[in-house]
Amino acid sequence: MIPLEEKLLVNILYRQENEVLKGIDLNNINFEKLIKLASGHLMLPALFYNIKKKKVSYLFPEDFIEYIKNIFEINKARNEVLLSEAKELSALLVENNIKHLFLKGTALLLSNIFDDIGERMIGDIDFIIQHKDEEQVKKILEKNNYCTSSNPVDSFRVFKPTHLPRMVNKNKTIAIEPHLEFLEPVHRCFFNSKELLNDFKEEIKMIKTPRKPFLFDHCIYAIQLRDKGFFNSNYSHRSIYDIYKLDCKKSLTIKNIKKDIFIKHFFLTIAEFKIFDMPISSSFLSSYSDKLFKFLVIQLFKFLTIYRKIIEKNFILIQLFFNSELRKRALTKIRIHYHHKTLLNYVYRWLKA
Amino acid sequence: MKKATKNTEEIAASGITRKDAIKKMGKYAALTALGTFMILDPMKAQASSASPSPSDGGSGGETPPDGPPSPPGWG
Repeated sequence: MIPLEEKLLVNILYRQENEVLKGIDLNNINFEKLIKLASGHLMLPALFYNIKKKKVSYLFPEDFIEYIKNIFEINKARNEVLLSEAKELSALLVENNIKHLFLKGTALLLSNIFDDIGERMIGDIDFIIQHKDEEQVKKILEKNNYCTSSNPVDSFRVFKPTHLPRMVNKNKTIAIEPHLEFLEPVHRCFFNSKELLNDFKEEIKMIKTPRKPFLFDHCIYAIQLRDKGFFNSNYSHRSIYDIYKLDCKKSLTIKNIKKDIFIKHFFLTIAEFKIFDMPISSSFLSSYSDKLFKFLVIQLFKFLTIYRKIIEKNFILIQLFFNSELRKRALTKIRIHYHHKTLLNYVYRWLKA
Repeated sequence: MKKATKNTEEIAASGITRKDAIKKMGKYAALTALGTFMILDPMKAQASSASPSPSDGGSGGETPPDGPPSPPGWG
């Protein structure tokens, strides 16, 4: 059962002006709940934009409209800064011959998929670089006043991290996140990023973004795998709105959706909202095989996660013998957490001696 | 006692109490998920998140306990 406030949010975002109140009694709407829901999904700016576009502001209290209008305007101003900082960053990378592609919210904004740039809330500027450029990018960014809040120790990594630590520049507004991969190590085997990696073979170019079908797949895989939507059927209205705006007619065919269990699961999770007009409910036999496949995938994920942790922990233990910086950090941790435990205290002093 | 004096001084210096600030922003600000403020002004949101805000139910979470799940981070 969809709460009335969520129904109203969906109607405003995806339906025509005359269908906004379809199945809703406005007297039963709690506008405070609507604020909680829309802000929790980072959808206040999109809500305001669609209310204005569909000319339905008369349905809402004045202070409600005033409040979300302010949020929209602040977000729009911030996104203007984000676009200009993304262009500056791209120019800096091109100047140093670094091939890069913008990802996620920044890529969507640069691809002009939204009617207004104020609609989408974006946390930081995400971009992907090639593995071989990692050290050079770090140096370039440090030279240009970007710094991280954490100070990671240089150590051998079994798996490439999805991204380098988030970086901020005191002279800029938006933080940046340089990616090395699209998803976490355990999810990489499910996501085919070959097509995008071909983009790196092309000539170096400023403000480059992946093609829309790739952004479509990346959005769904991120929510299904990294955000565990495949395991707990969670969804995010921001991602649904992104998919809606991407309008990938070629990707949105029933044939394509049915052949990919993650995409199919995403559309089945949000089927009750009736946003995408697609009959994807499956037969008894195929739903049984889907459930079996889902079970197997979950078991595989559990195994891969444990396997990855064991490998990484063993590699770190081995490195303690060779990497003095890492050993120093480990000893400090032992001292902080186990200072009251005599044996560990003794081991700590013995190791440090 | 000292603490109380400090609080009074803080109020006097800024000329506004926390209650007044929320009133000025409107009742909806108190209901807005912290994630929204974190994106709009990360520095101020970080500073204010030190004390539990009315919207996070005092748990330090991004949304109130009965609110929607915090949005996944597909930036």
